[in-house]
Amino acid sequence: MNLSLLDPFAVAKEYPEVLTQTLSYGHSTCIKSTRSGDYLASGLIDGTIIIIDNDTNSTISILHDHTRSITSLCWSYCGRYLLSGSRDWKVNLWDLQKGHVIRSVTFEGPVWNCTLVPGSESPFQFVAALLEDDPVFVDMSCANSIKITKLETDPFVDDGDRKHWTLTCAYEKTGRFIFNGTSKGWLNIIDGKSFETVKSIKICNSNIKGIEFSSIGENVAINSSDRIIRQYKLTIAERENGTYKLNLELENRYQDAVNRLQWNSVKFNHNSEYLCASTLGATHDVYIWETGMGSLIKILEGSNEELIEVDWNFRRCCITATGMDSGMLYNWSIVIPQKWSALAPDFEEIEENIDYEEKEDEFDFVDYDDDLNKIIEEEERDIVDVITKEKTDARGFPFVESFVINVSLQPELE
Amino acid sequence: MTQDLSQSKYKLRSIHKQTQNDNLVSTCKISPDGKMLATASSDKTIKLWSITDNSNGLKLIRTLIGHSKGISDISFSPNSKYLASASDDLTIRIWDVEFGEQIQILKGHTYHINTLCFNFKGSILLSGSSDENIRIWDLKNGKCLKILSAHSDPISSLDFSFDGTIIVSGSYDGLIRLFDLETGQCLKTLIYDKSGSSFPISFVKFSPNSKYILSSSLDGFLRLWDYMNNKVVKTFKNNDSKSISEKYNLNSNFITFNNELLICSGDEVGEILFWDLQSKDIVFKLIASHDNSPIMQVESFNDGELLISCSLKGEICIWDYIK
Repeated sequence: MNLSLLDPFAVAKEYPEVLTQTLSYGHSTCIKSTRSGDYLASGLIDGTIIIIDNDTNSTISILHDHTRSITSLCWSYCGRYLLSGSRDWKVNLWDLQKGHVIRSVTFEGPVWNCTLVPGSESPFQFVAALLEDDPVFVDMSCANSIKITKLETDPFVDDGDRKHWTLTCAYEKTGRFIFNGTSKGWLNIIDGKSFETVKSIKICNSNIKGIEFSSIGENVAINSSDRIIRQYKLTIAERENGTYKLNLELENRYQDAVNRLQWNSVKFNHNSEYLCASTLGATHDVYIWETGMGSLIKILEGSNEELIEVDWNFRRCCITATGMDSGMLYNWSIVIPQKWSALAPDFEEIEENIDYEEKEDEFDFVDYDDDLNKIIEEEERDIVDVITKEKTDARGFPFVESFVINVSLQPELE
Repeated sequence: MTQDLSQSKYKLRSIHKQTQNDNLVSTCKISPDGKMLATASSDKTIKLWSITDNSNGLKLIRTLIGHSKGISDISFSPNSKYLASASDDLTIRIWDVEFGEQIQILKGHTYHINTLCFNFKGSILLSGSSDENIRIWDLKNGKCLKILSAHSDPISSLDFSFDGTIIVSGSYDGLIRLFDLETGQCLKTLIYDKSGSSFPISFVKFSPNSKYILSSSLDGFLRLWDYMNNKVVKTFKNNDSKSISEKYNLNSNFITFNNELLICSGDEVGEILFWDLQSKDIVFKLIASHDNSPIMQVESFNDGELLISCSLKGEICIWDYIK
């Protein structure tokens, strides 16, 4: 609600501009903020996961179980559950109400990434990409019998590519289809119900490192080792016989032709008008492009090291990135200047000096006592609504009831 | 004036007197889960009561002892596990309710602390003091995050908007200020100067949708502010040109239970007044003290399904809404 009282021009800015903060809570390898923007989960190199409260920037919860570095984090829609994948071959599902693991699956190798089915009420189903293994769909609804379904790595059409592995997996936003990227540049689209590959597209000749869907709109960004991020428009149409027609149309290619930069991690903003990516190489920046024309509009500078993971907290309009060497978190956000006129109701901010002219009735004495009651009565006839809340904040995001993580105020014993 | 109690929507469940040794009670608070009541007193102690359904009303669970001077305000954390207390001994103490132990002491204010307020997450505590500062505390680390020094007289009352982003403060300098929690910037200042000078603000509270602010001031009126447009949209008065309060910081509430739309506040002579929010008329009164002691706090649970009032002399009344 604070936004409606701030400078509207500052609030209307769509992307952050200035490095405002660096946080150091261990060596972070993976970050993800909740949908409400209240909390940030940070996975560390030693397997610890810490939850940071964005209001105080302090750690409110520390989750210990993994023994190797965290590779992937995913919040449930409600914000109560957190899925974590690690190099210790495990995927854990944490319940933040209880503060411990409620489901755990151990695979036969390190986990590249894992992601929950979006839009689903239950947080018990996910897909994971594993090192040198086929990707899996896992249903953990029943703690005693966890069902693991292997998904195909080979493309739908046989073109002679052999010995390739799925490196990354993602759900499109409805949760109906799984998109897997392989080490030979194939994108396999798998039906989320029958688990059959329905379509395969050759994107490039190198590794697909990341697939990122926008939360609104139809954009998908595919990051590959050939130093290009390709942005596609995805259309899914249901045919009369119940099957789907999927179409990917290349919209933009993002690359830095001069520096030949590798992109580490890619994120869309909330309405996919902007795309940001962290860079690997000599520059230590986050690039932001406008997705309509594909033009570079901003380079976020200030970190003194290469950046690995990026996360875009839409509600706070803040981009966070992890540093490769120190594992610190770098926050870029919008700086809104203090409006000095807010400190006194009769102050007015003016652009330049103006000549003062006394108004006709400016210093007329008004005897309020007599007609004050009358004035009050006249002014206060309107019906006021003190109950109905605004549906959205000044940036247009709906106010959502999100899960509140319990804070223990008991000082920890050192 | 004859009191028309037939309009009354509340029934007295029980009265509890805890007057001992002439100690004064400054406030009472219902825990957010509705199971407990805490009272703070000038005798340096906090008493925790369990609220029971029978006519006994309250059962003492324990007394929290630790402060070295009288206590002005207390506040339960949103999960009802902790209680914060503000005292004239310049400290804020955080208590574990279940075990009754003191787990944190927050020091920093340089004069009496008057008011406390938790954010909805339970991670931040606000405190307002007679040293004219508001402090924002990070409770996980027990550290002061920010000091808001924009008032020029003691801070009397603080509240958060429902989404926890705006802080409203009332001060004896007559100003109501709104602050941004994230940056600590002052977003807006409200002042009522129609009647010549501005009287000290004794209480502020956001409306349920946080679009309005209800304020009490020591000129004896309650005002409902439309803060976006800097204007008072409703003024609530006592009958017969009596004031509501000119000396004490008495709280007020929005009663919205069962589609009611009332404002309630205690007064200085032992009554609880209920206004219709739209017409501003007093609909009914409740007598909550037998010796005309000021009603320091009227606590509302579940938007007014249950009210608990406490008088300065320590009379605690529990009221049930009659459907």
